Amino acid sequence: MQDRLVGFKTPNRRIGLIAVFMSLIVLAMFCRLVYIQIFQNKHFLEKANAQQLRQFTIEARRGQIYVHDGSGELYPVALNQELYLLAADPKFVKSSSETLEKLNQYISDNSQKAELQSKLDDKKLRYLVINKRILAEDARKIRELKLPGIILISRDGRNYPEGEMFAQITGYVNDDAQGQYGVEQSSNKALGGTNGISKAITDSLGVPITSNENTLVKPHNGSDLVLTLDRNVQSIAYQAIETAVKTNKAVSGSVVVMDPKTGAIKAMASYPSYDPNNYQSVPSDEYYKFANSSVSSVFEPGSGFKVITMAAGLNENKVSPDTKFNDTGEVEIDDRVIKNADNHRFGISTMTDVIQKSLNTGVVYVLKQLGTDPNRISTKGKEVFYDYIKRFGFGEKTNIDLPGEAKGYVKDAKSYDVDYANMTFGQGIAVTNIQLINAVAAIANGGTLYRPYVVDKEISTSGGIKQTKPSIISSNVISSQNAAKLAEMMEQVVQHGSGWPTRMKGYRIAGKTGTAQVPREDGRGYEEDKNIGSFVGFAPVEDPKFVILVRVNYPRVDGFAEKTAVPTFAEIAKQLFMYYQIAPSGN
Amino acid sequence: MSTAAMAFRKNQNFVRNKIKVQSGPITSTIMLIVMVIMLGLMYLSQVTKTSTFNYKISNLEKKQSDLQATKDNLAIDAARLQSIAEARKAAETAKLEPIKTVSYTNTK
Repeated sequence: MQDRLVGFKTPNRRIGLIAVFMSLIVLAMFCRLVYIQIFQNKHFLEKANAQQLRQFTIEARRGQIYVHDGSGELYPVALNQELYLLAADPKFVKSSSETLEKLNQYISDNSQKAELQSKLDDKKLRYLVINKRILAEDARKIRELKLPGIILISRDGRNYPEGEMFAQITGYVNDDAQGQYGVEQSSNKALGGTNGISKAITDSLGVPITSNENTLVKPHNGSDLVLTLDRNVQSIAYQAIETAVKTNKAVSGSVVVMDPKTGAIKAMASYPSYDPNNYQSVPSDEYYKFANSSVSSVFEPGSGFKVITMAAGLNENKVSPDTKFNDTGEVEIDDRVIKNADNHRFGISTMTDVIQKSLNTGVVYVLKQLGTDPNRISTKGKEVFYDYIKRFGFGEKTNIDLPGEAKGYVKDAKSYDVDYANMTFGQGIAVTNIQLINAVAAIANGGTLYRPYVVDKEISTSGGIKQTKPSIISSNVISSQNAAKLAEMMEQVVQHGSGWPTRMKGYRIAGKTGTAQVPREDGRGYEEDKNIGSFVGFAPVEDPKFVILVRVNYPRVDGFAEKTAVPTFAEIAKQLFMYYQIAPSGN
Repeated sequence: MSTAAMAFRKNQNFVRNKIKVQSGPITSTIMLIVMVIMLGLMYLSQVTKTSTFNYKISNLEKKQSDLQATKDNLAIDAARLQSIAEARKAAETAKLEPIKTVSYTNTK
């Protein structure tokens, strides 16, 4: 027995060796655990979280947009709609031609059918979008087709029940749920709310499971907006400008209706428009339709600007409605000759005649009176005129609550005399519709310049109401007495001047036409065959309820604004008298 | 108490043994096992309840979402039917005449 054990260690030694060996293994495991648990803790925690803990975004519900009518009832112009994204996983599509044939009516762009088919045949592709705007009813029909490889993903969409009529006011919401143009863009934050977050432990399939570690931050839904616009007034305005553009074979046109006592916009329509429900179908060369031309497009106002020049003259006590001057039909400034339209000359004329007959020479006369020497244009005169242009809000944004507002362009008082002479009758100055109507609203209301606005109130999901209060930019642009004098002068434009198509028995209407030339793109002079006809006015003069601006771009008919913009103004004013139930005040 | 009764009681031998409640290792083990089982059952019932409620909540949330979608669709239909374009079509169908003149009466 002893012999057999020769060469082997004793049992106690063997046990000791095994114990040491086991201890070393345990120690190694312990060290490894310490390394993993303590030193590599962060790394493995992140790995585990990535596998088990998932974060889900809970999208906030977008607020809706409403307008009201005369009775105060609210009507939606932008609503939420459940839409589906139709996509395909080509790997699982059995027959691309059969699939496309069955989905034919849901393919938004038929011209891309061939491209779609080739992509569906590409089995390496795993995701192919077919249509982003599938209605819930259509989604149900598609599901019933049980097409392999076809996916429907639910998403929040937007519906605009009034279509083109409010398009430039509302704007639209793109596929990334971001408001584009209009109120959808300017009030995107209020409408969009705040998305919620859900962090949850998930199973191997990614399905959330109950756990104490799960956290939920609820979404904060967006607020509803009620606009100042009256949908009936908007309808009247939209229909009128559509007719005007078609009748005059014009390129485009726009109308703004404003409450002169608050700055609230009652209508803002542009034609041609687009359907915000189908904004993707607007071709790239017609993207200009997305923008609201009344706030973003500048133009030379032409004779409509004469009321601003006259306001300066009256308010500086340099002229009165009865001040006379000799109209020779032309006036020489520097080496240039400024003439009246159609080369008319009227001889001795009053300031009322200047507005009524739209005399270029007359407003240049007013500019001369503003300075130190009434026989020439002086620096002082230009400074005073510049000050009034600024007072009326030209050259600055009105800060209306719509995106893309242009501030226009006003030359400063250091400019040439001839430039300032041109500015007196609205040439060499660039303004927007909203600036011009806002300035005339200040004349209508007795001298107060308001900030124009379109959002009347914001209603939060908790029911809290944030009401927009009329905001005054300047309370004394001109005195109320001078504003009244100017209104009477503008009334003569309707009674005896170019605004005659607006004349209505029993109603006192004030306004001013403008037929502006269009500057050439190279900056050298003006286009020969293009003009912009406009008419801006208000009624009733004794207590103005509305101010209207009509602008018709590039009409292809002969004649001035009295043939293009004025009849449109007349049509709108006539309907507004009935709508607002304004009774005639006299003969 | 009567005298006879007291005499009877006096002659009685009362023996009262102290009862010792003792638990051995088996009892402790059994009790521990029972407690563990009971706690386990309680935990299981709570987990089942939570899961059931979660399922109910999930169902209700889906119902709410479906109802919201239905409500949205109905609101869209209502808005479309009340839109100016529809009103204009209806006026044409009914051959309504636009208002041409309005007469005002003085009520004073």
